[in-house]
Order: sequence, then structure tokens, then C-alpha cells
Amino acid sequence: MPERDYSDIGRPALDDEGAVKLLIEQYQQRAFALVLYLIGDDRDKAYEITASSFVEAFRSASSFEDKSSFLIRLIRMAIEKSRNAEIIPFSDETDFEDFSPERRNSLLVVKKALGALTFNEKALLLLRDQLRLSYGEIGAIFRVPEGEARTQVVRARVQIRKKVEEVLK
Amino acid sequence: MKDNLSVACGDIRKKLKAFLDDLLAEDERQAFVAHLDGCGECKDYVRKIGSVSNQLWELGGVNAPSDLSSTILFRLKQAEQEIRKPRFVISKKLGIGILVVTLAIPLIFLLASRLKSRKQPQEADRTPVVEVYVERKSAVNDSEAESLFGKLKDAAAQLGVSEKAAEEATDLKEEAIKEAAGEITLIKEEAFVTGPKPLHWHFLYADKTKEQNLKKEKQVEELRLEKKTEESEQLDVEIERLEREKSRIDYESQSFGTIKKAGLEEQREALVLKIAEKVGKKEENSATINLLENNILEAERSLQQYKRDEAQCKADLINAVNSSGLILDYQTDNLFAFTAKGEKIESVLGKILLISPGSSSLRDYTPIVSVDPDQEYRVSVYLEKETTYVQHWHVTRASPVQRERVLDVIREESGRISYESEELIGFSISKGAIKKLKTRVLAMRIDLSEPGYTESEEGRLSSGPVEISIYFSER
Repeated sequence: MPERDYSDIGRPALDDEGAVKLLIEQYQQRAFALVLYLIGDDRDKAYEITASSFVEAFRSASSFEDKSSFLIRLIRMAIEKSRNAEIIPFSDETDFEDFSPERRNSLLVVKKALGALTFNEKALLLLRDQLRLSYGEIGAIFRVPEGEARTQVVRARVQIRKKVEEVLK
Repeated sequence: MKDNLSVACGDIRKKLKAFLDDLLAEDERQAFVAHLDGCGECKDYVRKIGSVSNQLWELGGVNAPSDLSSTILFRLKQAEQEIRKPRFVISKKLGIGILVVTLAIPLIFLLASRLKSRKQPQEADRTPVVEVYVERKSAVNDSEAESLFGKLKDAAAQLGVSEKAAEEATDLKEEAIKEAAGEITLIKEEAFVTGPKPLHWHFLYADKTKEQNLKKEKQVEELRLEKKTEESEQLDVEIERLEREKSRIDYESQSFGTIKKAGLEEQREALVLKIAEKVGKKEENSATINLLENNILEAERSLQQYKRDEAQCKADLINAVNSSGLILDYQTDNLFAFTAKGEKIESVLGKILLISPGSSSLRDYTPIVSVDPDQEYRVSVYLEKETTYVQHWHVTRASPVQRERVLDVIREESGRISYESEELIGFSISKGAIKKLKTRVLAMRIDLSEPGYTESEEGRLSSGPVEISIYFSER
């Protein structure tokens, strides 16, 4: 039986299960949080998007030496999949219960303001402030120059501050 | 080390504003973040500042589902297996196309099955999964059951499988899971069942009519007694007045002459007749009063006997449970509950049915004929004086916080919680308030269902509050 040619799909990388597990462990929580805040109150869907993003990011990797490039691929896929998902508003009911009431209130305000942004604005702020990515990495994800990424993040920050003020009113 | 740390912490405070405004150079920013990750004090300090970007960072504290990593690994392996199947030599583009389709099919299948139900076994599911039935031991409470689940999930993740199992789970896997989990005593094909199944029995241990009639009878007799007593007192007053009148006439007749004496004599005789009449009436009253007092005593004795029967019935019911080698999980005035395996249920039921203090019967709301001898059941026996309007609500997958919120709402709407445990809340509520309560509970996005354990009687709908039991369960 003729053999398949696997070289184009990075098959050798998947043999390193240890590396795969390490990457999952390192990024699953952040990826899940990102997707959840992008698509809203649907943990099941966020679960699916995160899992499939990981699978596709691994499948397209030629090696796992460059963690940054894996992360960029992963986040890019997660964002694209989330963009197509239906956005569901969050319910506040059980969030941040372990926090003091004051802190809980301020987090809920920010969460609400975040929900009022456009998809791209949300994504930019989450990448910068939640995932703590550099402007270079953000630029790579959105396929724009670093300077452009910085400008867009700053604009998004202005928008969320406006939304916070609106919510507080 | 300490000095270096102090210097670094001092830098944090100096650079904080620049950090929050995102004005630090990239390498400075990364060094800043790295310090926060390693210094709890500085992290708390920065958090307290409460900027929007800080709060966005805090929002990221969402926990990923614990089985996410094992799902990813599994899907990767499955995709890899699909790819490894030998086919034929193909061009690169066509190969990628086929690869995409080949990967898509199992992924779509798994996606569909996952979306359909994450906790129900799928018959056509090709995923080798492990389903575990955790047998609850008598001493195990909900927190211990949760801890066991945690161990199960870890064990499943170590094996590289997700949490659910098909029939063809290998012995090796079962053994591995047993060993890893340690305390799991049984593996079956059901998905995550915890705790015993509920059975609800309603024991009508006395005829309400009898008690009501006794009380009414006593009341009527007491009213009559009161009336007769008043009449007697009134008669006493009149007799006394007539006696005084007679004495006056007697005294006067000694002073006057024969003609006047004759007139007084006439009056005296009339008075004597009246006095005799009144005394006769009083004697009749006394007899009636005696009778009424006896009747009241008798009614009181009957009521006391009724209450003794009631207490005895409760004691007998509890004894029926204890003598079967079981202990009560909890007990209130109108409800007691115990956990038992099916094989013991029939024997307990037999003993309870023998208890008969006057008019009593056992009416069950769950079928007891088809009890599984190996299945554990939580039996709730409701003690009733009449058939009451009862509802049993089931809440599945509520968090402890949601449970507390349900309790708060119940207190606000009904004000009277009869009993409370981790998995059961019982309370009374007026019929008019039920709808509002249900609406408020549903608004918490709690999965609430009434599985048909509802009983009502037309004639009694207008009387009394509704007894509701809310069961919190995993499914």
C-alpha cells in the first residue's frame, strides 16, 4: 500500500507528548478566559472553541521550540472562531463571589463595559491586559505592524474608559 | 536577597503609574509583570489601585474546565490516528484537502456529541470514555462525594481519556481508575450518579376529621356549660330574693291582725311556689351541668388519647426504621428520612404498614414495587393528619451559592422552613405565593423541575398551605 506524505502537516511534533501537554497546561486557562470574554456567557461553546483552537494550532505547528509562535497561532485561531460565534450577554449572578462587595462591583462594571465594546476592541484589550501580550505579538495575531497594534490598543482603552463612565452613570 | 527584593519593590511603586498607563518599554513592562508574579505584596498593592487594565487582568481569573486538557489530548490523538491510516500517495493540495475532511468528520462528530449532552452517555460515541458510578457509603457526605469525583477526573486525565466510559472499557482501564481513585468501589455504565434515589412516602397517621370533631364537641359542651352555669347563678340570685321576700312576709304576719294575716299568707304561698319552681330548675341545671362536665372530660380524654396515638405512631414509625438496622438521617415534627438499600426497603415498609393507631394508611408517591435491591434509596416519610397539597421540586447541578440563594428567597416568600439539609429543603408556603417563588428561583438560571410527585385534592385546595420539598441533586 502506498505511504502518505506527512511532512507538510508537522506530524513529528505530535510525537512529543510531553511538549504538547506542557503547552496545553501553560495556555489553556488564558485561552479559555479569552474566548469566554469574547463570546459571552456560554461556557460550553467557549470550551469547544478553545479545544478546537488548540487542536488546529498543534496540527499546524512544525515544532514546539518557538512557544511564542504557537501561542500566536492558538490565539489567532481562537479569535477567528469566536468572531463567528453568537455573543451571549453575561449574567452577573455568581461572579466574583469570593471578592469583597466593593471589588466585586468594580469588576462587574468593567466586565459590563467590556461587553459594550466592538469585538476587535475587546480582543485587543484582552490580549494586552489579560494575556499580557506584547504589541509585537498582538500585531502578529492581527497581522498588522507593531505600531498599528499599539495605536489600536490605545484607542480601545479610550473606548472602555468611556463605557465604564457610562455604566457608572 | 532581601535588599534586592526591597529595591525591586521600590521600583514597582515608582513605575506603577507608567505601568498602568501602558507607558513602560516592553522589557521594563515584562520585568514589572515578572516581579508581580513573584511578589504577593506588590501584586496586592497594584491590585488595590484598581485601574481598568488591572481589572481586565483580574477578570482573567476564570477557571478553565478541568477536563479541557484531556479533551484536547484525546482529540489530537484521534486526529492523529485518522491521519495515520494508510491511503495512497497524493498531491500536496489534495492531501491537505483530504486531511481537512478526514479530521473534520470525527471532530464534527465529537463536537456534535459534546454539544448534545456533556453528561449523558452517547450510544454511538466512538470515544472510549469511562463512566463511573460512585456508590455512596453511609458515612459519605456530599463534600466527600465531590472529592471522589475530583480523584476520578484526575485518574481519567492521567489515562488520557475523558470522563465518560462506554461498555467496552477495558478491565485494565477500570483497574487503573480504581487504583488511581482509591475509594471507588463500583463501576457501572451510568454517568455520574451520586447518592441514593429518592422515594417519597406519605403516611396518613390519623383521621383529621376525628380530631376536629372531638375538638368541636368539646367546644360546644363548654359553651353549654357556661350557659347553664350562668343560668344557675341567675336562679340562685332569684331564689335568694324570693327567700328574703318570704322572710319579710313572715315577719310582718306576726305583727298584724287576722284579716291582714290572711292576705300575707296568700303572698307567702305564692312565693313558696315560686321558690320551689326555681329550686327545681336549678336542680335540673345542676344535672345538666354535671352531664356537660362529664362530656367535656370525655372529649378531653379522647383528644389526649388521640395525641398519645399520634406520638405512639411516630415512635412506632421510627422504631420500624431502627429495628431494620437503619438510622434516621434527620427528623422533624412531620418528616423523617432514612437511607437504605432496596433489599431493606420492603421490610421497613411492611413494618410501617402494620402501624395502625385508629385510622391510618401509607400513601406513597413513588412506586415501591420495582425497588432495586442493590440500589440505595433516600426515603422521606411525610407524616400527615390529612392529605395535604404537596409538591416535590428537583434542582439539578446547583452550586452551594445558588442553594443559599434559593434558601434566602424561600425565607422571603414563605417565612417558614421546616427542615434543611445539604440536599433537601422543606417549607410551607401559601398557594398564592408558589408561582412567584418559582419565578424567582428560575430567574437564578437554576435547573428546576417538578417530576410529577404532586398530589392534590379538589376539596382541600382552599385549606392550608402547601408543603414543598426541594431536592438538590447532581442530575
